[in-house]
Amino acid sequence: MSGLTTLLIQIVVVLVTARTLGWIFRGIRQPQVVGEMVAGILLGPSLLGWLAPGVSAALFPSTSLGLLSGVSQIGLVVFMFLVGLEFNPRHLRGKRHTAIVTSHASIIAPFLLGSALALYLYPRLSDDSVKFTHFTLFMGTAMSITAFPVLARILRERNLVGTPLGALAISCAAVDDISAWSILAGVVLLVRSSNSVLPLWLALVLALLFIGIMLFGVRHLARRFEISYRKRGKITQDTLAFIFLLIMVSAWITELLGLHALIGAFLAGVVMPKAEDFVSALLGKLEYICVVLFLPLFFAFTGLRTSVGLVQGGEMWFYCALIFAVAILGKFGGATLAARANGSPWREATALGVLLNTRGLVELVVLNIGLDIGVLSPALFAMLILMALLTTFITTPLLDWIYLRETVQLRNRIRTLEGAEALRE
Amino acid sequence: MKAVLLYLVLVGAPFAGIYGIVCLGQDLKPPMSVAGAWNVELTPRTADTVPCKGFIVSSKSLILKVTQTGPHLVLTLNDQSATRLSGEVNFESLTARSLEETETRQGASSIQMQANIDRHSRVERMSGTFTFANCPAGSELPFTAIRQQKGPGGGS
Repeated sequence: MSGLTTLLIQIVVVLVTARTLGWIFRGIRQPQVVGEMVAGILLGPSLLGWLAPGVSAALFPSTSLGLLSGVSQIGLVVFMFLVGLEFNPRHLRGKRHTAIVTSHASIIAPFLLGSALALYLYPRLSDDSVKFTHFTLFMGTAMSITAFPVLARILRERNLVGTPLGALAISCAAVDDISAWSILAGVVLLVRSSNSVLPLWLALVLALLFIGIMLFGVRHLARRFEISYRKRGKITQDTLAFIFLLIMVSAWITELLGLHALIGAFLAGVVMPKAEDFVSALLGKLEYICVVLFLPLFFAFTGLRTSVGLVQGGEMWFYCALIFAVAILGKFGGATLAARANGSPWREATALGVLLNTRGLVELVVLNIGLDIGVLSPALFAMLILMALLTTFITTPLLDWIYLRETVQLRNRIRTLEGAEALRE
Repeated sequence: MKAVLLYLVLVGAPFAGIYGIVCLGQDLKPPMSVAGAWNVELTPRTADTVPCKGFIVSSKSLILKVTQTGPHLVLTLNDQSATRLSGEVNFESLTARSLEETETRQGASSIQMQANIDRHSRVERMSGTFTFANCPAGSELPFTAIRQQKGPGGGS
């Protein structure tokens, strides 16, 4: 079978599985993306490779994975651009202080707990080719991620976008996003510089210089995209081609500098004009193809690298449970306490903690980077993938239980009182 | 002012904690890295006389792939379905045994592996023996292996 035939068959299988699982998960009030993530894991050695190794080897021969990886990486570059595109500093308007304090506390608390956990896990789940500093910083980063896209989708689906909770959650997630990617960029730079010809200080200076050029130079140039959009009333093919050029060049330069290509793609999205109509027109051009085609391929590729079978025995499952506990305690606890300290009522603060605990596919992106740069061992990668799935999965039921149940009860009580009032009159 | 104070307490203090943890962990000693692919060479004279070695020496170039998580190892010899071993690395020695007791063409049903790793020379080298548990001759098969490329962490 030719490489193209294999890839086409893989795409068909991945799309069918992802849509089916996505549909099933929507049926149990979960975001579709959770089902798609699970689909990816099921197609890998954790289920298909375990139940039917022959089928798995025929469907995903190791020689074909380069092609699948290439396609899914390109999709991921576009996806990271979209994540950056959706970042809007206007989300912080009026609550900048609250959002920054809450968000940074919700990053630093799981980071601290993740680092403390690294002290225990490093001799047990890593080896001497990984420096402790790299391991601990990466574990901290992995624990502190929030998935902005999934969170935004949950808020939209639950009609919470216009509420104080929704507004605070979006602000915090926006700060979380930019902070977490900055931390990740720093960690990747640190890890890669130890094997690079460039000394760390020079890599850091060049990276900062590039970020400066993007934020203060390219951002102004990118306004031309919006001007062209206003003039023609649509995003033309030429504009789209230039945007793609910007994404690819930015991704290429950050990869070259020892950051990761995905950081460059995210940065390209951040410097795009933020006018709502322009952003939604651009999202309209790119989002569907990215979400429907490329992301399931990325989930499948992640699934093929995830071997839950490596997590075997009581000892390994104990580490796994510890990772779950620390991840939830750090993110949920940190965000809840910080929001409470900032004056939010307990119910809202807890709901915010639940929302920011959503790690979703952004965590998958981060973990894949960790595996690529060699900081994560295969079993630890599998454990963290399970943690990402679990923390995303529990978000909607917990939110419904903590926040929406009382809201519905409150609404019903108001309706009853209004009815009684009307009868009295 | 309140926000600054809150920031110092909620963010500054944990930041100091992270710095402390990074300093504290510098003395930790994780297991030796053996992840990646190793080119295995069998001692020709012995290989010819061992009756149960068939599935190990079925191909010309014998590659041992090691997947590592901490001290835990999964080792795969050329043919994935027949020869997967699970083992551990302890300081500079490595022990493993086959995951499944499978019947093979040559009749051997399980393999054990024991090796020592030498990291002091320019190329990383492993030398040890494969032992065939149920082989009538109870044979041992010495080998040496050279690491192809250092695995990036445990990730290989």
